[in-house]
Amino acid sequence: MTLTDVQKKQTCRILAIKGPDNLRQRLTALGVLRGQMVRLSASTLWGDPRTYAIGRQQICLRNDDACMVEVELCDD
Amino acid sequence: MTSQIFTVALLGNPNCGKTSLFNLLTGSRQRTGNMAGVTVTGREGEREHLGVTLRFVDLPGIYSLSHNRVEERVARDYLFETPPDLVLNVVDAGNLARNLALTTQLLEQQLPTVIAMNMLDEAEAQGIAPDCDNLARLLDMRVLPSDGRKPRYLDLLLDTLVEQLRKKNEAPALEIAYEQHVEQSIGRLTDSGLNRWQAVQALESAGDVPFVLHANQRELLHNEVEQLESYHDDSTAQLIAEGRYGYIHGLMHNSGSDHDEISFAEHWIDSVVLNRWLGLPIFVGLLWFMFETTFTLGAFPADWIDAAVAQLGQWLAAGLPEGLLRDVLVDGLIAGVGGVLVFLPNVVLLFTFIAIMEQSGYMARAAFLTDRLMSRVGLHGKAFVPLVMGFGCNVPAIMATRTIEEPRARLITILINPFMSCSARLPVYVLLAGIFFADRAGTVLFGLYMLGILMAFTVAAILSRTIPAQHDESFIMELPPWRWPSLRSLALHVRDKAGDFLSKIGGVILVGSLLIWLLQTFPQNADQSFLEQLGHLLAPLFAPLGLGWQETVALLSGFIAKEVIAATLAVVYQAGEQDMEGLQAALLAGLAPAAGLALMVFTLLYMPCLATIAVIRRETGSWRWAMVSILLGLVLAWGGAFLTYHIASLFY
Repeated sequence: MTLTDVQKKQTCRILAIKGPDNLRQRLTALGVLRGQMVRLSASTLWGDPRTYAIGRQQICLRNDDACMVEVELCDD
Repeated sequence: MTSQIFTVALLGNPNCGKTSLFNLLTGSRQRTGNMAGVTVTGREGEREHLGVTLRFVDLPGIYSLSHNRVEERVARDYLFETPPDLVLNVVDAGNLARNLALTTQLLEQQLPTVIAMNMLDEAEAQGIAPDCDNLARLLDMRVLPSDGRKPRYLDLLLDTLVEQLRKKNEAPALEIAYEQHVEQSIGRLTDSGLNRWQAVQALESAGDVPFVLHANQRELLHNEVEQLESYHDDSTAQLIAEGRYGYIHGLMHNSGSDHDEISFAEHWIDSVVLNRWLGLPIFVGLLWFMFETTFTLGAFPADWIDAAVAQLGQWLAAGLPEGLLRDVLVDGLIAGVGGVLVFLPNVVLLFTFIAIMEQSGYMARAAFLTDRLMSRVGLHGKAFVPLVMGFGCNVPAIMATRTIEEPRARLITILINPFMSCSARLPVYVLLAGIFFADRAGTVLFGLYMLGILMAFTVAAILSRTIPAQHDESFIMELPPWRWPSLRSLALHVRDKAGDFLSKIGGVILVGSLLIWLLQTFPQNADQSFLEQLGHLLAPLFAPLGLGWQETVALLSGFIAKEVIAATLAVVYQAGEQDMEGLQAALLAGLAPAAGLALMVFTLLYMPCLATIAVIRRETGSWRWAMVSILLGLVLAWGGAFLTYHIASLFY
């Protein structure tokens, strides 16, 4: 699954970040890395873009970019 | 004895409170300095302390010393080409791990660095305040608490800066143990003659670095990157970042602040303001409030200024002998200055609101809420607020586009802004719609505003397809934590903007209104002024739109400010300004309804007023874009009015 599949109240872990180099580098610069925990924190009327709580920050991503981030569900 | 001068560069992540701290450090003694050849500006300011002069340079807020963004390049090249005596690294205590990632880059580069631990009170409130002393010991550098809002830590910080500047700092460069393949690549690159930090930076930015790479080093680097990416699924930049964060997590574990990484930072305000259903209505409500307050509240001081200027004009008129000098002073100069000053209350109010939205963190949220709408025409969310402001006045609205970082998106937003019908155009619509479409005036008004919006979006869609895209146009944005705006920063910010407005824009308006006054006044004692002659000369151009020379003159004078159009119509139709009925009758007799509609459309779309052109020139940095804006407006206005006239003629 990718970030775009995350529902409210689910906590996920980042498995991999794909996509073009500059997207990866931008996310890397923000400290969005493999192994981090992610939660969906807000969504607009159209469901795009959405805001994710990643670590101690909140980051807005358009779905086109968010679908490049692969995650897995954490049950706890 | 001349005191020693030291340069201290402030560097930190966006939203870490760096600019507030800079303001506190430098007080009002600062100026905007342009950083080598780019549009990103840095600020500079000075302060004396313990007998030395500290020259502070505020670098743009960045997450990494990389090459992806203009701001990152500016900061990285600045640090490499003109290394400051000291880097004051401002760190947000509430998001330590990410902020320290930038710190590790500075330390790898062996730049003398002091950490200013900002936002400690916020972090304390969340129970995650880091231990500065512990961190200082582990990193072998000075880590000091700081606060941009209150001067409580200021003296200690300044003392430490001077102390660090006076002693030669010979701290060794930080060495982070990266993943083994990365280490092997670094080893081979250092063997080829690079420093360790240069090797790391070269790998991280795929060779896009400020220092010179020889052909053999470049080839080696290329091979290393290729090899690393074939071993791993991740990019080299990701591998190195993982190394950094690994080091930082170890550091935080040892200093007892590792609970940092597991907790999420979400705020209850966001659950309301960013609520899927409530978010947009709240935003629209806030905008309406801001808009309404700016232009109703601003109208009072604007009226006072207007009255004061008129009073001054009367005094001068009474005190001076009749003649050309009096006319120049009263009708030209004072009327011109007055024309600039009446905008000031609106500018101040609007910028106070924008500054509050920015500093509280709401602006980023507004951009998030409207991004989807704007993405349809190749813009992003941050363009929305300036566009809405354009309904009030295009001048502050165009200045507000500074919140958009991407130069291209910003340029497009500036160029389409004049199509948002500003309040100065309203009197013209009210006059004409009242005369020709008395029973449907509201619909006509609404239609005009909609036409403006439609034009703006169409032009944006076209421009975003024609102006070449830059390599980073993605909408990845951090939502900053909610914060109370500091009064001090607000005041400084608004004062800056108002000063900017008066000095840079005022001059152009002044010259322009003097010019129009000259055209209106000369030649004296002749039947027709130059302006009227010009009107007759250009009238054939406007004839296909159903407009006569009177309307042509009115539109020409509207170039100063669009509200002048109505006044000029009154003058050329020989009706006193008080005599509205006379003017209405004259217009009704002289103009077909379809031509009235065409005149309104032309007024809506044609070239921006003088003040707007001045601000476009200032904000884009060239006359070229101001000319593009004028031409674009004229062509669209002519085409639009032509179509309007001929289509409307079929019905009326």
